[in-house]
Amino acid sequence: MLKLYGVLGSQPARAVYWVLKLANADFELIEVMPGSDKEKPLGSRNKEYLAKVPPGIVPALEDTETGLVLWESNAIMTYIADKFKMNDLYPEDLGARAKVQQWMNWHHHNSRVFTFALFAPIFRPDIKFSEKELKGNRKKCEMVANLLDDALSRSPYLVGDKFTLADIAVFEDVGECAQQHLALFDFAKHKNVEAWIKRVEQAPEFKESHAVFPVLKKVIDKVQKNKAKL
Amino acid sequence: MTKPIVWGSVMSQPTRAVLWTALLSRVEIDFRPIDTGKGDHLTPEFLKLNPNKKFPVVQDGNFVLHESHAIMKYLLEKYAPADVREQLYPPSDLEARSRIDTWLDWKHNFLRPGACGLIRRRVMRHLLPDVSKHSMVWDLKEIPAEREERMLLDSLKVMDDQIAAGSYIAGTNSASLADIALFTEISQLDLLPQDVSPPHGCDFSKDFPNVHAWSQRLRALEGYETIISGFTRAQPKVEALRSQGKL
Ligand SMILES: N[C@@H](CCC(=O)N[C@@H](CS)C(=O)NCC(=O)O)C(=O)O
Ligand SMILES: N[C@@H](CCC(=O)N[C@@H](CS)C(=O)NCC(=O)O)C(=O)O
Repeated sequence: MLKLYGVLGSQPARAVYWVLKLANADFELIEVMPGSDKEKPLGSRNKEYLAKVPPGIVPALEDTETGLVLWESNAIMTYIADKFKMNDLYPEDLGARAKVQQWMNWHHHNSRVFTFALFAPIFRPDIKFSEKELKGNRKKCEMVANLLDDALSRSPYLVGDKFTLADIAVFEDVGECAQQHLALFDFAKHKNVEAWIKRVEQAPEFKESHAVFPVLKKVIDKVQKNKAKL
Repeated sequence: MTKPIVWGSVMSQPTRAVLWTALLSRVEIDFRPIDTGKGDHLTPEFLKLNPNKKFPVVQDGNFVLHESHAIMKYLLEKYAPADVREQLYPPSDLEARSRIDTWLDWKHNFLRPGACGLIRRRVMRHLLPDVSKHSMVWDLKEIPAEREERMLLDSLKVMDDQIAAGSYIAGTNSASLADIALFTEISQLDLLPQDVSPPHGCDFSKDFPNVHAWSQRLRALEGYETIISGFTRAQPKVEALRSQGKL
């Protein structure tokens, strides 16, 4: 039995959830709240979770049959893809696989910035960013969108003409900011990214894996309304 | 057969991890040094290879790849003898590979911002002749030094506990790609002035004994001395800067 720890409001947890759905795997989602040290609902900084996942982050995946515990969404996604032989998502060809790896590694300091710049200030007020850092991160989003736009002007997906784990890893932080979801970033100037987001949304199991978007959007609307009142 | 070209700098951790992997993979490479002071990473030719303005980059025939971890896996799979592959990133063991991946990915947001952030702040910006074209300029200004220090200490703690349970970071019986990448971030701390290293005189051998013992194992690994020599060549300059009170 596979156990996925996390919440679907977390971009990396959602990426893993989506891949598990695509694998048609038998798994259980166990709620773990990022950043909280509470026992109920279990927080990622609670000692019970830290004993399993020392860095205190979600997602994590446990395979109760073998005792394997993995964290870091990219490592978990490639594990699932190899275990369930999902060769389209994670190609076996050396060059294509290397390119998927390139984008997944690139993600950490690039697409992930969308979350630090736009999502975290609303949902994680406990993480303190200085105004200057936020401004720098917002500028970085523009740079990342430009890089993606350039790459996607040459191929429909990040690695050639097939939808792969690279698209999933990068989509979760970038795609959720689009107008049709959380409306945190306007991709009008980045036509190729805009089209790619719509393309990725056509992949199987997308809807089932992203039902949280309207819930998150409501929270954002409320926060913005309160801000406007002040 | 033409050799794969690696663009990078011996002062860069991801570059050294790639060079070390190439050496262990028994592949001869054509190394092309990048000097950020001269803006080598911003030329139109380089941007065609990596629009992201970062190195290392490998070019193998028509195939171009950036991101050190991706490059390490690529070189290993394409060129290394079977026993070396089995040791560093075992094709026969998916669980072991995935644990190695976990630690490689973990490095990006924990160990590297801590160790590399600190070294850039304490040493590199004084040591390199010109950092104005390097993206570290922004980090130095906007990222609080305390965050880097805390991240480094937290990361060392997580690693120390992990290594206590086995000799190598991903639970393998010998050094893997994860050990190479993580140790390359740790060994750069050698350049920190002794009495303040790493944050505020913490003593590796006492405070992180398992990381310390692991470091000794990694220092003894084939190729380490060759790969680190270009980096440690900076040591006398660090000492000189220090005696002038500049560090
Ligand atoms: N690189 C990690 C990122 C994981 C991460 O940042 N998770 C966040 C939630 S989205 C978390 O658990 N944070 C815990 C905390 O802030 O204490 C991955 O891809 O899995
Ligand atoms: N995640 C990348 C990091 C690459 C990186 O940060 N490279 C640095 C040198 S250590 C660089 O190119 N710096 C130039 C700049 O940022 O301006 C990898 O692992 O390859």
